[in-house]
Amino acid sequence: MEWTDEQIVQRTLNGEVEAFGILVRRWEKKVYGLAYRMLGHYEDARDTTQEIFLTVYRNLRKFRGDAKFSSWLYRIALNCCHNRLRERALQTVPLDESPPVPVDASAHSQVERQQKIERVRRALRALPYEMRQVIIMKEYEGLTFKEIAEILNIPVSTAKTRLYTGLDQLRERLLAVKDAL
Amino acid sequence: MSDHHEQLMEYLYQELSPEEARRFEDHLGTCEMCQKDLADFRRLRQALAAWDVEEVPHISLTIDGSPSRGWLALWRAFPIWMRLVTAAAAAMLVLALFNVQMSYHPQKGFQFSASLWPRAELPGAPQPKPRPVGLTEEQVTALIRTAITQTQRETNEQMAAQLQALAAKLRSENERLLIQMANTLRQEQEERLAELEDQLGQPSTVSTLAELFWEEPNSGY
Repeated sequence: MEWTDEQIVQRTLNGEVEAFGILVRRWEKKVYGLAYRMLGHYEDARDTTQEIFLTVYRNLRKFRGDAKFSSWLYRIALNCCHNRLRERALQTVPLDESPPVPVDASAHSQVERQQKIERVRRALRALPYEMRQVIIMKEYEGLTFKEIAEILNIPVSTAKTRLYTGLDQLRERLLAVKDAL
Repeated sequence: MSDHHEQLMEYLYQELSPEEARRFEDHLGTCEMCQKDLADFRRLRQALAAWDVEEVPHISLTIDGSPSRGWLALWRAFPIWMRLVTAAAAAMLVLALFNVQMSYHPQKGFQFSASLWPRAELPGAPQPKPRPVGLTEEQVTALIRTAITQTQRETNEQMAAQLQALAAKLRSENERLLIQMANTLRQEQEERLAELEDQLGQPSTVSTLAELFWEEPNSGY
């Protein structure tokens, strides 16, 4: 039987520190994906992911269990990303950094694919923060509208509205570029 | 934002119940705008899906012990002098909380006693001299009145000094102007006198004072 997130949290709180490693392995890909798409920066996303899990660990006792662990984790993750974006705005660190391109990326189709990804990345980055985070949570994290609403503490209808408006703006930006879609 | 937009979002991400989905499809058959939105957003989702995270970097966390170990790590990060100061402050706080009293007796040595409540002074201990409780209302009024009078006197003195300085300055300026005028007048008189002396030294063409001022009626005409 697989332990639930909440059970692992309890085991960790009972002194079984190694149990927290299970949570990290279980969620690191999702959390890193969220951080990377929110920040658009490879190293920032890696550092922020570490910071997110450390924050979760240090605040485990504050997790009351009245919401799902994943919702609590995503809320912390979004806060950390938001803080990192604010710090970066002050430090004027370059926003654009593509992930390391594989060595065999010279193939035409590969280059073309990278270009499309880059266009999507830029279009997403240009969206207002509130819409971008809903699109990322819905499209890449696969969360339901109810979960998004719970994480952001907004009505479900607002989550849907933000998604529609975000997609609408994304369509305008990407359709303006030939072959972007 | 219409209800159809919200339903469109749920339909796009398959969050409608079968019955709701069927009803929305009925609507789709008659609404070109929703049809276009749906087609565009599906293409958009394909484009978004292309941006996948290929490789997750290794996430390493340095965690030792239970969550409370974080405080221990912070304590260990302090330099030794800061630990000593913090410990002393904490000890004094605890002693103060429990009203700990320490006394020394030559035969008995040091004696400590603690209580949850503040206690009366020890017998024989030097009593602090009672401090003056405060001033009466009349005294306070008198003090305020004296302070106001003092301030008014100082202000008056300052203004008088300023007026005197201004008067002296004006007087000095007037004297300077008067001297300048007198000098100019004297100089003009001296020049005029010199001219007259020159004229007196030359042979006069007039014989009487009247000739000096009145010309002959027929001279030159």
